[in-house]
Amino acid sequence: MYDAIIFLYQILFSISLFILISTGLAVIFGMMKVINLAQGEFIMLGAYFALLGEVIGLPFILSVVLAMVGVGLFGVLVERLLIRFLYGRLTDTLLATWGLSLLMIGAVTTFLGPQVAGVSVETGRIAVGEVYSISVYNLYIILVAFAALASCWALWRYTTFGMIARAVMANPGMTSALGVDCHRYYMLTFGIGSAISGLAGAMLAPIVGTQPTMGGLYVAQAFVSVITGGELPFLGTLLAGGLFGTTNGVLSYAYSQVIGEIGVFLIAIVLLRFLPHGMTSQKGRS
Amino acid sequence: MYISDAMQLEVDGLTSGYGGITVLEGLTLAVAEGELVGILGHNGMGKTTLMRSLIGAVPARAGRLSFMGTDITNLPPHRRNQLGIGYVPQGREIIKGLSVKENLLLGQAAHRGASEYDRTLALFPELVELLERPGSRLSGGQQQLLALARCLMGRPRLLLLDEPTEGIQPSIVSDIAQKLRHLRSELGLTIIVVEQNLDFLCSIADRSIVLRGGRIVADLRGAAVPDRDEIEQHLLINA
Repeated sequence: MYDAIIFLYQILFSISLFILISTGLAVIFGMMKVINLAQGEFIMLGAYFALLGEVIGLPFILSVVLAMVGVGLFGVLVERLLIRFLYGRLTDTLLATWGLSLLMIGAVTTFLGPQVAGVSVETGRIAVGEVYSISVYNLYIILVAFAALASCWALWRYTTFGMIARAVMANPGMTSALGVDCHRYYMLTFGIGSAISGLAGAMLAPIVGTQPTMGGLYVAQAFVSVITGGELPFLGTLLAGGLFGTTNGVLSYAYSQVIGEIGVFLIAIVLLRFLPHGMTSQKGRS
Repeated sequence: MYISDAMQLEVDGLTSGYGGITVLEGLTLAVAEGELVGILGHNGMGKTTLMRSLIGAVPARAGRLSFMGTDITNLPPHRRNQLGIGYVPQGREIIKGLSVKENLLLGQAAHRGASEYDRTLALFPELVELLERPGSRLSGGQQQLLALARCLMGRPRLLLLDEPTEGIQPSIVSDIAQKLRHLRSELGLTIIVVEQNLDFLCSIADRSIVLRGGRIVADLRGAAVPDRDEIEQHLLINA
């Protein structure tokens, strides 16, 4: 009985990590089609903002807000100074964001050092039976991950901002002829995607610590989730997160974390071989 | 050509095109408020380029555009739309992924003021039953009505219509003609319409312009316009 609870909890936690890591990219790559190779470093920056919050004595929840605002504004800056010149230029975007990723790793290493630093949050544990216990913080992560994905989806689906943003992404030419300043929506959307990555970084910091190179771990997982998810970025991220999180959770539980990650990439390869446009592709449907 | 300050739209020596190709060469045109101007010409003569230059989707390489006294030559499309230029492009360009209702609301999303939604639906009762459908799933005629309604949501003073009858069944063509006449008489809209369908054009326009090689080669007003033969003659001469 308790084994089963722990097993389910681990899978849910694993799914949540995928969703948390991928939602920012679901906005930036899924919605905007910008291949941002620095997305992992946006997560890293979020973790460092959480560290900054701890250093200046903020309660953790405010550190998380600080990370969202900080990385969101950083994203707006990146969009204004770099990305906006590169819309529709795939290779240039790849090179520029890869450069940005290296620059961010280099800058953080230079100014803050290469070592791992921890962020501590006291939340306690819940006992499950007599042998097991679950960290309350991990439950918060599950909550935040699903809340972030659901909020993004609701923002896009049900608000005027989301409606205009969808129109801008689908047909900027026509949308601007209806009076919409598309540049503003590109900037804000990129900022939102960045803020979600900042949130992810801040939430991850207490589990994995902060390190300049930590983004590399996440950018691959995020791209695998969003690409496998397909055309509907938020539903796709939920489905892909569910699939990969379960795979990773089961294999990690049964064997080891390395096997879990290998399993994820194998499944992604097979899936994309048969569903090249992803799990939520609408191509070929009437 | 008669040009005065009273003109709503003034195009002076407009040159524009794509890449290395110049399509419009020094085109000059003045349209008074409330006019309904038809633009004719064979394919490749610059009709669509003129419309795209007026809304700002194609930048002017030379010349000057002014609308209601404001120089709009270097303004981006969204600013021109906010000033009162509405654009219904060839192919309608209903936004994919948005419902009919959302496409309509998008037309006013960047505009201040009271909602035009109810008034627009009263003008286009055909759309009421389709509101929750994806806009891209409508028939060609329904899409054309939606594109026109969406444009009107932004309360334009000048309406640019590019081939509104292209690929549309005759019953809806006459419906559109009737709506355009209504918009003009009731709302006093200025309308510039590019059209291949001469019957349609002759039934609504009070002035017709024939484009050839990026210039205006005929400007027929008043009594000359409903004369289909004369327009056809101009088109033939220019063929």
